[in-house]
Amino acid sequence: MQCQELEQVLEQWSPGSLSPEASAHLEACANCRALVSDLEAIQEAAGRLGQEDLKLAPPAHLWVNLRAQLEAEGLIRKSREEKERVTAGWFGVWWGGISRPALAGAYVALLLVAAVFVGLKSDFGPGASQQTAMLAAATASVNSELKDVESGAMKGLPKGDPDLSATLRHNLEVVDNFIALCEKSVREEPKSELAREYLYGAYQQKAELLSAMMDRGVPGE
Amino acid sequence: MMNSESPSKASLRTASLVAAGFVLLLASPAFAHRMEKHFTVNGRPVISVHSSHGRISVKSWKKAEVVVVGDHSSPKVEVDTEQAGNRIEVATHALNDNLTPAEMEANYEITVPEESELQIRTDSGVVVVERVYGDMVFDTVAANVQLEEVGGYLVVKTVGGSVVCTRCLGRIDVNSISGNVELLQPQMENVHVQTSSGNILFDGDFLRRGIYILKNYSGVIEVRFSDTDSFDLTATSMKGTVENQAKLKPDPHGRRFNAPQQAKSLFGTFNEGHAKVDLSSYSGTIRIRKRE
Repeated sequence: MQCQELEQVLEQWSPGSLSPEASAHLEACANCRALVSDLEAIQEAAGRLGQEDLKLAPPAHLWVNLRAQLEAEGLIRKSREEKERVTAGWFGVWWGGISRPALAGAYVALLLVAAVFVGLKSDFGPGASQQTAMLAAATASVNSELKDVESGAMKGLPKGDPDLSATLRHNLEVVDNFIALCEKSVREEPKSELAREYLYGAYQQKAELLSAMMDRGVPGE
Repeated sequence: MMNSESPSKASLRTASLVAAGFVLLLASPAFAHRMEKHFTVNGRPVISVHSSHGRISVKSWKKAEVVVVGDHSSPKVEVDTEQAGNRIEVATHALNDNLTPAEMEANYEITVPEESELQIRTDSGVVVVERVYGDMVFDTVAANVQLEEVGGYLVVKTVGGSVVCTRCLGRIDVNSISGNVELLQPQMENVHVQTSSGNILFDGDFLRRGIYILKNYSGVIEVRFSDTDSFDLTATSMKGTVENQAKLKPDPHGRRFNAPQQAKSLFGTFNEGHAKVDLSSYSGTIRIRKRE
């Protein structure tokens, strides 16, 4: 059995239902094992979603991103007033509502997934020029949002610990440098998934770092 | 015959001893505030340490007991410990605001049962863990993490600290911005390391069914393999270079690799391809070297 055949088998897959041929292939192929492992992890995670989880409303940012995507594709429109209010305020409101700064990275990462990865990887819909424009808008938006968070995180750096502050600042410079390089790569090769992947990873690193900074920062500053 | 000594000489000697003791006391401020606590536990305890600066050392023993020895020089901090069932919490607690890093410094020597779970968070200094075989989470800013003969699911998140893992078992997930990561003689079947500007070194066996994902933006990723290793390899450096000493065969499973344009990349199988090795760097150097 070849990898492609196994992928077809996996479309109808359930745990314990693999044929001997598929099992033999899995034994020999690390990539397919990784794929099955991912599927099992997804299934396990889905299984853990209890009734309480199902009662939860989806996070507000999912709607914001979905709506932004629909607007970008011209499927819905919104008034200028509403646009200004949402653009200026939704991220601030979102951050303001976070009582535990340690969660900041996770929230930003989710936003990035929605705004950059999902939005830009779709091959259908907008043409190349529109996709480039979406990409530019998404990166500008993410940068702007991260800049706001950064500003708050920098103010809260512990003043009594110059070494710690210097380390955090230095690493922020490192990440910002990579973001700039990756954005340049994406501009030069907008269709390169690898370039996008690195850019996404760099944004995620910055979000994690800002989360660490806020976590170590002085509350209320 | 008894020695006779004048009262003035005896007083002088006593005064000298007291002075010497005082000098010694001043010369060793690290022991100015020392505490030792013992906790009886069952099975697999969870030990959580929350500190800012200093050395945290964790070792194991066979006893069902956790011993925490902490010392700090400043009277402006204290060490808090608490036991709730099988969970032991240790924290350096500031008694005043705006303490300097030196005042916040505390060192810990912790002895735990072998299968303990650890959760350690600190800013700077060093964390050393030896021969503990439970799941572990480390969260540091600049503190270096040194793990030796540990096992379980190891998660290390550090901003700029280095990570050295020697003869570790199980699974590891490292995320750093500028820290270097070294995995020496690991016996790990799931390795995921990401650093932005740090170097990554993997010097050990690729286990059958193992998955090894190493990624950075700049710096060097080096993996060392032996003739008996067996892995499928993908190595991509978008702007940097890939240096390879492994004689790779085309993928035997019919898989095709779409090499990114303008990237240096390698794709192939070494021996039977039992493990999956995925190396990627934005502008760094990837080295696949045969172990001497």
